[in-house]
Formats: sequence, structure tokens, C-alpha cells
Amino acid sequence: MPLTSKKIKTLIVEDNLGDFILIEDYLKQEFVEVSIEHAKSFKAAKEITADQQFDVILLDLTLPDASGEELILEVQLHAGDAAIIVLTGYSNKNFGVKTLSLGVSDYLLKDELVPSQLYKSIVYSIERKRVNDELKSSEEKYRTLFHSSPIPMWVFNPEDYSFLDVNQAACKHYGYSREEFLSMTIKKIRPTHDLEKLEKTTLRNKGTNNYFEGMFDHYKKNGELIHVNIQSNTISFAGNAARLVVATDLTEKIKTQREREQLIAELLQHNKDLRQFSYITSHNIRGPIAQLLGLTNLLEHYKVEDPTLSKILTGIQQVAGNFDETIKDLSGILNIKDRPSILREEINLDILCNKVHMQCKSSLDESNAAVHIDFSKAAHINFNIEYLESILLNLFTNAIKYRSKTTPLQIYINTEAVENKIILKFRDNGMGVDVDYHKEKLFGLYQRFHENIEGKGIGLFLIKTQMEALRGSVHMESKVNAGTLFTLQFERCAG
Amino acid sequence: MYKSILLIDDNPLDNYINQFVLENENFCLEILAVQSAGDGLDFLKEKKDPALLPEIIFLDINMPLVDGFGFLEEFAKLSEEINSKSKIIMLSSSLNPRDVERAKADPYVVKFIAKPLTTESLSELVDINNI
Repeated sequence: MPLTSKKIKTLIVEDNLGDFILIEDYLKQEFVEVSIEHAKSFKAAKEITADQQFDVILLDLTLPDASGEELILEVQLHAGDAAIIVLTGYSNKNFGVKTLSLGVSDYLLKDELVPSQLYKSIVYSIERKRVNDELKSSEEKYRTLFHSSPIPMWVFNPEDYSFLDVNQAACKHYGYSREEFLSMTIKKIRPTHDLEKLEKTTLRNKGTNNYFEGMFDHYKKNGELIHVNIQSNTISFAGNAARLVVATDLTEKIKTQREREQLIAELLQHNKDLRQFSYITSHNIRGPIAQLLGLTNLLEHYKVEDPTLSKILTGIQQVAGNFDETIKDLSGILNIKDRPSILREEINLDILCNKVHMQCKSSLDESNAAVHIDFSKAAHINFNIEYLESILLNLFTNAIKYRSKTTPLQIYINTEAVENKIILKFRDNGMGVDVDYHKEKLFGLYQRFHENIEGKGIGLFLIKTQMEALRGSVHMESKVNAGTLFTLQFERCAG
Repeated sequence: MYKSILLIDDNPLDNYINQFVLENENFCLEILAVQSAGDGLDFLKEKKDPALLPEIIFLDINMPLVDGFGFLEEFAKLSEEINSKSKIIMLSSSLNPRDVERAKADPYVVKFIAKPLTTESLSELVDINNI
């Protein structure tokens, strides 16, 4: 024990000089380093403790200006951190025992005092006081934690289910005052049909150090039903085994969760309905269209003399043809969007781009076009090869269709790798489009931005749909007569 | 020129169009049209003489009760004689690629043609003489 090596500061409050000298001698005998102060009265003790801090105070119970219980209580107020050891005479033996309950560290009978006993008592008292103080401060901390926790907490007795302690948050949340809580059992906040479950659980957790967690229904004072997440643990409360409970109200969260689930279910159903509708479109509408086309084809075998009739029949043929084209476009688009999983692969850009280039060769030559390709910075893209081919073809076709009347067509295609994306840029020096004016319609279906040039207006829409189907994106910059730049962003897949 | 052809389509107008085109091309001697998968199967089953079986069957997909794929299932269960003699061409107005894939995957389907049947698509058939 390190205490004996440290200097012990003692105060002896004793009016009898003889007793004082005896004690002083004993102290000097037993302790290596000790400082001894002497107070002959309570008043003197008060004065000296105001200036100095002591490790232990040896207190005689009968002083000229104070005695007994009152004296002890007064001294305790001024003792600070000092342990108090009471010295009593034989006649006061019974009272000596009582002093212990007042918080005094020890009591010694003056008549039977021996040095070793004095030593032991002092050393133990100091240590015990230190331990008790630590315990008290730790208890203080936990009290504060418990009472200032924003989450409702309580302690209950597992034997009779009564509330032993309750924090402010619990009072606020449940609507019961602290007094009300302490007069209730936890059964009061449970629905009656849950009581059996409660008893079973409490029984199971009793006597063990079991951590327990579960969802329960509780009633607030105003009758409101809430869904609470209960976490509980064993705790010692006033010496007995009790349960500490943290009650987190999840009613709002559960409600939000349920609403979200319902919304998802509705959306899924809605999606299913739409898919059904698209299926109907591709079957029930296409059937009659095919028949219409079939019938108008048969007309080819018959010569129609009447020019008006001929014109009418030709018109019908064209309409049927257009109708069919539209249905095919829509079906194609729906097929892109409806695929549950789309095949991806590492695509060699030089090879694919070349293939598309060849497909457009005649149109490109016709327009005296020059194509500049640079895939040196990123030579491969992980994507669906059919979609990519379709996208490149659309880009080429657009560039050719909307080329400048005055300047020969120049096409620049290049790629670069940026962070986790591959960026492909397709630029031409053609007619361009006023992107600001057309804004949202740009990638819309059947939207066209140039008169007198053939086109259905689905190219850009297809590009966008195909890119987005594989988590990519497309962006278009353009100015009238200043060309167009398409920026395509592809996800970069590892390996 | 083929001897006989069987058309299976629930819609009489489609059968009419197909028949017209076939006759116009002098595609075959005899054309029979039935309006259900059941009728088609019955027709095949009652031909005792294999020589009288149709060489080509044009089969629609969308039919009530038993559809084109249902027919294919039953067709596979017919005797070896029958299903080795008659080749099936799926003729459908469907744009669904899954229908196309499914049809082409069937061992007895030699081709998938999108309606309407035209002289062009017929000429393709004649060219592929391994039918």
C-alpha cells in the first residue's frame, strides 16, 4: 500500500491533553511520515479545516463546545475529503456503533487503543473513503446519464413489475409524472393481451445477466398506442437485481416504412399493368396492322384503272405502312426497357467503329466526309454490343443527315478514361441544333428539329434509352451552324 | 412446287391472305387451312398415308385455347413419321423478340416469318431448298 510511503496529514480533535499525547505518540510510532495538527475544540477544528486539507481526522466525541451526533454532522461538513475516525470512551460504546451509519469511517475505544490498531484503522479508513468517494462519483455520473438521456429509460423490479426509477424522457413521452410511474407496475403500459408474453419474458430474463431486445406495444397515458423497441439489461438497484430498460419509440419509423412498402407495391403493380398494356399493344394492335398490310399488298396484283381509286388505295397502303413502322419503333423501344438483364461485354472500339463506318461508307463518301478517330486513351468499353452499334450508327447517320450544306462534313470521335467512367465524344461540324430552345424535347420521341430533312425523330430517343438502360448517360451540345458534340458516359467496369 | 401445305391460324382473314399469296406464287398444289391447333393436330393424326402429310405447316402464334407454342408441344409427341415429314414455319404478327427466340429454339421450326406473308418472304423459302 502506497499510503505508508506518503505523508499522512492528520488532525486530532481532542480537548484532553493526556489523550492527545498518547495518540500523538502512537502515530509517530507507527507512521514513517506523519503530520499532526491539534484542535482542542470544535471551533478550533472548524478554523483549521478551513485552511488545510487532511487525510484523516481523529475526533473525540465529547468536546467542550459540541458533542455527539450533532458534532459528527458538523465536522463532516468541514472535513472535505478526510476520513473521520471517532474516538469514544467505554461508556459511549453503543453510540460508537451508531456513528458508522452517519458516514464515519471507524470508531475506536480510547480505553482499548493500541498503536497497531490505530495504524490499521487509519490506513483502512483512508482507503475506504477513497473507494467510497469514487463509487459515489461513478454513481453520480450514471444518475446523470440516466436522467438526462433523451430516450425514455426506466428501472423495474422483476419480482413485482413495479417501476423503481424513471427518467425525464420517459415521463415526457408517456405522459405520466414521476410519482405516477413509481406507483405503477409496468403492466399498466402494456395492452392486456400482451401480459402473458410479458410475464414469460420477465421470467426468462430473471436472475441472469441477459441482454434482451424486442418490439412491444405500449400505451401512453392518453391512450395512444405506440410501437416500442425495448432493450433491457440486469442492473443492481439498491442492492437488488432489477431490470434497466431503454424504450425507443419506433411508431413513426414503422409507419413510414409501411407507407413506403405500400407505395412500392403500388408501383410494382402499376408497372405490371403497364407491361401488360405494352404486351397488348405489340400483339393485338399489330395483328390487324399485319392484316391491313397483307391486304394492301394483295392489291399489287390488280390493276386499278380509275386514277382516283388508285390514289386512294395507294394512300391506304402508305398509311398502313406508317402505322406498322410506328408500332415497330415503339415495340423496339419497349423491348429495350423491358429486358431484365442486358448482356455486357468488353467491346473493342476500333473494330466496332470500323464496322459502323463501313455500313455508312457510301453516304460518307457522297458527302465528302472525313472521319477522325482516336481511341488511344480508352480502347475498350464494357457495354452491350448491339446497343453500342446501334448508338454509333445513329450518331453517324445523324451527322450525315444534318451536315452543313456549305462545309464538307468532318467527324471527330475520341475517348478518354476519367475516374470510374469512360467518356466518348462524337463531334461533327454540321448544321447543329438550338439546344436551348428545344431543351427537354431534344431526346424526346418523334421530335424533329429540322424541316425538309427525312427522319422519324427517334434516333436520339433510342440513344438515350439504350445508354440509360446500362446506367450510362448522353449529353448534347450544339449551336446552329456550329456543329454538334455528343458526350456519352459509360460505366467503367473492373476487369 | 410442294404437294400440300397446311395453314393453322384462328383468323380466317389471315388464312385468306396467306392462301392468296401462296396460290399466286404457285407455291403448292394443295392448301388446307384450319382455324385451331386442335384441328391441325387432328388433321395430321388422321392421315394414315404419310405421303398425304403436308410438307409445310404455316403456324400462327396467337390463337385462343391452344396457341402456336402449345401446338409445337403436342406436335413433338406425334409419331416420328409425321414430325419428320412436316416442316413448320412460324408465321406471326408478334414483334416480341422472345417469341422469335422461342420459336427458333424449337427443333421442328425451320423459319420465323413476320406477317404479312409476302411474295418476297416466300421466295426466300424456295431458295433455301433444304426445307
